[in-house]
Amino acid sequence: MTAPLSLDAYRITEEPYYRPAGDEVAVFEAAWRERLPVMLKGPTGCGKTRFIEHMAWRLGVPLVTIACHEDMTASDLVGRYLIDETGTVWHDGPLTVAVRHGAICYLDEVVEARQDTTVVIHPLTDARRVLPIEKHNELVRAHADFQLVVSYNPGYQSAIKDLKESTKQRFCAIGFDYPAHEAEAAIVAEEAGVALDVASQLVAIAERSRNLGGQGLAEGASTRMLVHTGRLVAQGLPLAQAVDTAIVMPVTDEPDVRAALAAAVEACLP
Amino acid sequence: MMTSVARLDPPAAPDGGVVTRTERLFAGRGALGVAYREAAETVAKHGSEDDTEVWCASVSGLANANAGATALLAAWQLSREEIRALGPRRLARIIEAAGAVCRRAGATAAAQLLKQAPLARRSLRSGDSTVTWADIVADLAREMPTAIIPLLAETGRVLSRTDLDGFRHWVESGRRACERDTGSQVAFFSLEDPAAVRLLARSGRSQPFDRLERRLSPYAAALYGRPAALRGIEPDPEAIVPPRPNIAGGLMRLPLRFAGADEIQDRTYHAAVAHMGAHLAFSRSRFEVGKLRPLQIALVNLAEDHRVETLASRALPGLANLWRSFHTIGADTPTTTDNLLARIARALADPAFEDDDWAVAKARALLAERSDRLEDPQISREFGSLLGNDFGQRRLQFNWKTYAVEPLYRDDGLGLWEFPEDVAPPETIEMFSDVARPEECSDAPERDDGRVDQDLEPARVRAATREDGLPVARYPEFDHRTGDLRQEWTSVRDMPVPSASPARLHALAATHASVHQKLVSQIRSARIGRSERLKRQPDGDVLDLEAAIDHTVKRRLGEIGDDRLFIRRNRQARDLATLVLLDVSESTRDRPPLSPASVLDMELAATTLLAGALDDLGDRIAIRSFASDGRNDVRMARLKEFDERLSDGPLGRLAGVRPGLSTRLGAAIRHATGEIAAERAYRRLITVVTDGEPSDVDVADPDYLALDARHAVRAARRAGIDIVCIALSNAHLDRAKQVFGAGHVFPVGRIDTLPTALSAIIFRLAAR
Ligand SMILES: Nc1ncnc2c1ncn2[C@@H]1O[C@H](COP(=O)(O)OP(=O)(O)O)[C@@H](O)[C@H]1O
Ligand SMILES: [Mg+2]
Repeated sequence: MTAPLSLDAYRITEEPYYRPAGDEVAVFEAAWRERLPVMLKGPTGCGKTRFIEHMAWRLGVPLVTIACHEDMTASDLVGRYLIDETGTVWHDGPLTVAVRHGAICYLDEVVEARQDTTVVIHPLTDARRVLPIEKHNELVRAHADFQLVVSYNPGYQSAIKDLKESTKQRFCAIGFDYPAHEAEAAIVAEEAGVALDVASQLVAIAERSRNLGGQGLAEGASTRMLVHTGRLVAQGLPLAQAVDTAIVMPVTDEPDVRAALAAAVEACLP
Repeated sequence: MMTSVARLDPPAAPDGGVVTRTERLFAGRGALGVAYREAAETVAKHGSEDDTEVWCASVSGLANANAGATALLAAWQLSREEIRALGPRRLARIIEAAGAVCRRAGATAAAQLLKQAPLARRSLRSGDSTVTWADIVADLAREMPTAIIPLLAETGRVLSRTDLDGFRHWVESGRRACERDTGSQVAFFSLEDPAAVRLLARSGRSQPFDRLERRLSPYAAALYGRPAALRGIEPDPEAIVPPRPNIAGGLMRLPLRFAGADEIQDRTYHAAVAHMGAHLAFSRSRFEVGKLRPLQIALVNLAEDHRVETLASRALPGLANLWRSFHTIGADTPTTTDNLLARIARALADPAFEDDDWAVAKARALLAERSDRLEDPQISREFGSLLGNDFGQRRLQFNWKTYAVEPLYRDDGLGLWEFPEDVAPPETIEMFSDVARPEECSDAPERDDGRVDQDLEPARVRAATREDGLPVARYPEFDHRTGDLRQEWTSVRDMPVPSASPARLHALAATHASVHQKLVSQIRSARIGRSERLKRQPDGDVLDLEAAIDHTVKRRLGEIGDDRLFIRRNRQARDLATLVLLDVSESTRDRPPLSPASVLDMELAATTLLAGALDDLGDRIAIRSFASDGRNDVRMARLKEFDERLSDGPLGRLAGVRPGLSTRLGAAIRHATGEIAAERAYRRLITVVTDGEPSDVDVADPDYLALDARHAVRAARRAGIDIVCIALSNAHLDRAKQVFGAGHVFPVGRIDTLPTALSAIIFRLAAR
């Protein structure tokens, strides 16, 4: 079978900017060479998605990204029959596309998917590397370039929304966290196009909000939020207003926590 | 004079009209009659005939209550003096209230009410409020006649500290606090009782601290990465200087309001919390007092304040601006020690501040020389002793008793010091002892608020130790008689949990293995998220064959088919968090008729089985026990946390539960509601396991606690939390139904009926 044109759309042609925090690039490359399933673990918006985009580019492999959600079914991953003029036709789902034609399949926020959905990946994660498609009566053998990568936010789980132990055990894991102050400021400056000192102030603000993680806030402001804030500043919005719009307001609905955060933000600004 | 009053006599009335008729009451009583006429005349001048009639009626009412000359004269004097401010109608109502007081508490009390009314009117600044004030007093006279004279004697003090609503609440608190004991009634209403003073201070408009507390603690956490425990400092009416914040063993203590305008309260609290947070973050160890005198200590504090503020502002430059804005003292103020200290503080915080006093210059120089050692608290000590000597040579007087650190937001600094040893100068020791008192009981301030009995003895308060549990929260309580929520009426403490061998519970679980199995399968199949098959969907897991055939047929016939051809299974994972609230009061020691086991044993069995089943399924379940000993001592113990598996740890704690004390159900429910509200789950369920009857030692009214609990139950439901009751005694079933609502009470007489009750509960959850 030849790779259909469709996979070309999944190729990343320009280098996604990624600033490594440690040796995660080397670790991932090793896992890639063995085609081991990898779990990227860390809080939301800390660079996991950016990292995998960067790695797919670096390795020259297409990247199929699937954002997982509650209502996602196994069919959404694997594929289903559709109807056309002549009757029913089988249509590969995104996971099957990646398995059949060779791509990194990235299941973003995998805990969001229900456990009975995620079990379909099990046969792909052991030595068999196959995807059984019951409905189509087919056993798809994984392409040599297929690799499974998932992301997982450990701070964001409850007993119900957690990965099955049997699922977790199938992955190598690379830990991610918000970058150190200087590094995060450099990222924000680069991504948002603001001066380094502004970026550094934003990071200081984010650090205040992260202090509230678990004490009023589910999670503090992410790198992604800082990038958004920076973009608003780059658009000419005053810093305080940008912070209010892109950090303080979105992060909580609780009036007291919001007031506390707003006051802490004020403390960060000269 | 006679002529002008004659004008009031309606000529047509043969008996001479109400004014004259009333006057006959005082006929032949000399001066009394004259005084009456004078007052009646004044009133008549300021109102209609009807008004005057109403007033006259009130006066005769007072006379008929056997008020006696003093009270009557007081009524007339009040009428003459206050006619402009109050008008005849309000005067009449106040005189009526005095009549009621007279009948209940005697003529002297009535006279007192009338004499204090002008003062009340001035304090309350409203005629209507003055009438209400008099009515409240008259109302109190019915239950507590002996308290009226002491209360009225303190009218000025009382009304200067609160407003009308506050007054009403405070009186109500007093009424509840000292139900039948006249001694404590007098102590309370004469403000001799310090608890009465504190309650009064808290009774009026809510204090800024109460309003801000919930945001200040996350504020401190955001700034310094550590949560702060905050406490209010109850106002001390005897204090010479207004209270400053202070640090006591990691607690930040703050006045209930700062001196000054409402507009600056928010900023001052933020400045204070940021400042104390800086101390907690950067003043790592406490200073030894050694031989330092109060002035030197104040100077060390000054430098230390500067040091920690500078360190904190490095990462948080906005704080420097906030703090600087509080320094307002001018360089031209008289050179007293207090002023000089404030000027030095300003000079250190504000480089632009100009002051040519050499002490200011020296202070700046001393710290500039040490600016590379800012991390080292020792520089504050050096600063204090060096500058202290210079102050000494200038013979500047320092009186620590009247000194209050400036600016306003700064803490008194004494929390940074070890308590002085004997070698310290006597005045230093005295200074520390003076503040040590509130510090010692700061862990248990909740306990002494408004409780007017032996428990208030400071000895008891101080003896409160960890075994008594840590106060963790205060809750309001609903009074069905007034329809009011009494603020901060109960306090909940988190009790340490003794453990016992879980063997008993293991055995119990083994005996009821079949019950366990039933529970597990019931909960597993629980319809709290039953899956549904939705036909004819635009997309889905499987083809809807019927629809597909329909569609194909239509297409073949050249019609337009419906292309919604899929079946979708809509399934929600069971997402349930459960908190079990276990009544462990003395009454659970009882054995229900015909039952082999005590209520508590059945509670434990039911809880173990329920928790076991939920735990097996990986559902989140927490267990708390509760009992109470009066409203200030609601004891709760954490037997199992949501995150914990049901291992021997929690089972041991369950097994260690012993019955005792009473059942203040409402407070326990409020606490449980707060806890489960923080859980992220689709359905949240509080299951109260009890024998059904709320009661407590300080409550006589059998409805009071039940209706309060009902109030708490409704609040929980409004917050989207399900709350049900497993009732283990049929004796109080009606009570339980009153509290939880009939459909939410599940009687369990024997353990093997537990699965039935539980499936009913689950059915309810699913039905909503
Ligand atoms: N190490 C990094 N290098 C470059 N950009 C980063 C890095 N970390 C975070 N970002 C920025 O943060 C944003 C959010 O990161 P993303 O990868 O989407 O987060 P998530 O961890 O939720 O997948 C990215 O779009 C990027 O702008
Ligand atoms: Mg201080």
